[in-house]
Amino acid sequence: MHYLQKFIPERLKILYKKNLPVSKKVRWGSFRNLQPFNRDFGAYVGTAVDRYYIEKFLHSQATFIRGNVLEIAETRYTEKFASGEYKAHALHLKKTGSENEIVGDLVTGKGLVSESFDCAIVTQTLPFIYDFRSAINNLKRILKPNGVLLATLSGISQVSRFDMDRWGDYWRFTGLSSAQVFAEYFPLQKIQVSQYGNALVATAFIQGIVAEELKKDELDYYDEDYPVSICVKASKN
Amino acid sequence: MNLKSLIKSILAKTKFILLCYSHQKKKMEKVRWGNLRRLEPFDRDFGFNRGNPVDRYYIEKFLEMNRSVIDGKVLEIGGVDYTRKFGCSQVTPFALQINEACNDYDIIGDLATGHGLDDECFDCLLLTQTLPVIYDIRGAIRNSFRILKPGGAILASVFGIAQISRFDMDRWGDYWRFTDKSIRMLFEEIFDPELIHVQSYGNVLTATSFLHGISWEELSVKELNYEDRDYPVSICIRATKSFK
Repeated sequence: MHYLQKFIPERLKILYKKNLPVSKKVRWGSFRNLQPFNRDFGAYVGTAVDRYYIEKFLHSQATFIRGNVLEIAETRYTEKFASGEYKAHALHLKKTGSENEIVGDLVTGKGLVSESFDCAIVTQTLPFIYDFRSAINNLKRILKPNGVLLATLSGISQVSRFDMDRWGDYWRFTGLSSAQVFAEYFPLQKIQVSQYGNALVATAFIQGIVAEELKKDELDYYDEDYPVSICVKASKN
Repeated sequence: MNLKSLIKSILAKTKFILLCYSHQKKKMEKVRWGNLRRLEPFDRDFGFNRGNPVDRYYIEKFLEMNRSVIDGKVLEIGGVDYTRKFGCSQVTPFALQINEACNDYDIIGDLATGHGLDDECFDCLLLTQTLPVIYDIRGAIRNSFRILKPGGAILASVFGIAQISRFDMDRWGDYWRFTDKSIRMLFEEIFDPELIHVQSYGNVLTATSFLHGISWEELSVKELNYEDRDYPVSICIRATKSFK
């Protein structure tokens, strides 16, 4: 018997030793596949899971989205969630000629006037900026006193190929690092970090399975070890 | 309305319905969840309770490939297991500890601040899954460069797609996840860009397994070795300090 053991592969031996009960065996369904369901986060099929969380977060912060509002590249969320009087602005890196457009650069601060906004909505932008600290510093600078920054970051996520091929995809955060990074620029007591996600949602997200395929209970279940989206509200003194 | 136009319209309608149906099918194939439709992962400890974690497979593969570099005075974090396993026969292992030294090869120091670590003292540094749990990552890379002898190399691995490491989070914190691009740019700030080699490992299947704590022994070698650049599970870096 000992002689034979030499020929049993190491990996089988470990599996045998651990001898998993049937209840713990993995039934893969359609997941034992080297290709994901959708490569583009499922954006063409339905709502990507992280968008579900972002909208949930912005909905909960609707009272702060008013006055002069800056959003990145578009004004979709401002129009959808604003409460009260607002003026929407879209920040573009290059001039496109659309209305309400501001041409500027978050990293260098070029084209951005200090203390000019009541609210800045920066969804899924900071992970794609290598020097995200300068971007946060500039965002703080352009906020009026008591202005609010609403930012969302990725936790567990695949690489966004669209962004990677254009300006790069760099950072994934945890609740702890995002709190610490924003605390370098904003007063600690004015920072509020909310984290969303769990193991199921993280799996769905990296597979490109959309929010519509999951139940609301599953989406809203919170597991601190599986952050899919990290949302930060920071206000200026 | 004559018969001809009626038939024509019926045909057009069926064609349209068939087209819609086939399009729908192509758009989203039905997800068969197996027993992966679960809020609780199979194992919270990266798979240590079932076998060995997926990232360990990649790290050991990377260290195996770079055996020749692990020679002379080698500093490892928290223990000397990898140095013993992959080092050359003449290797002198050291372990960096934060608090207390229990063995004669232990050194007490801090990579982020550089406290307790002398200049140009090691031939090789093994930083497996260390940088993600250091807040001041630039400080850690700068100090790693400083304590390396000229010609010495750092072998590091970081997380790409991964859950929080609760063990680290409860002790010193868990901060960063990287992409191959960001870790390369971080090292390029300090090391010679031509002497940096970055390798990303993983695919959507191993990423799913890693999140659920399914061990690498439950996957086939072919599945483990398939590389998909959008799904980095482990990113490994070899950076050499030039003689200049």
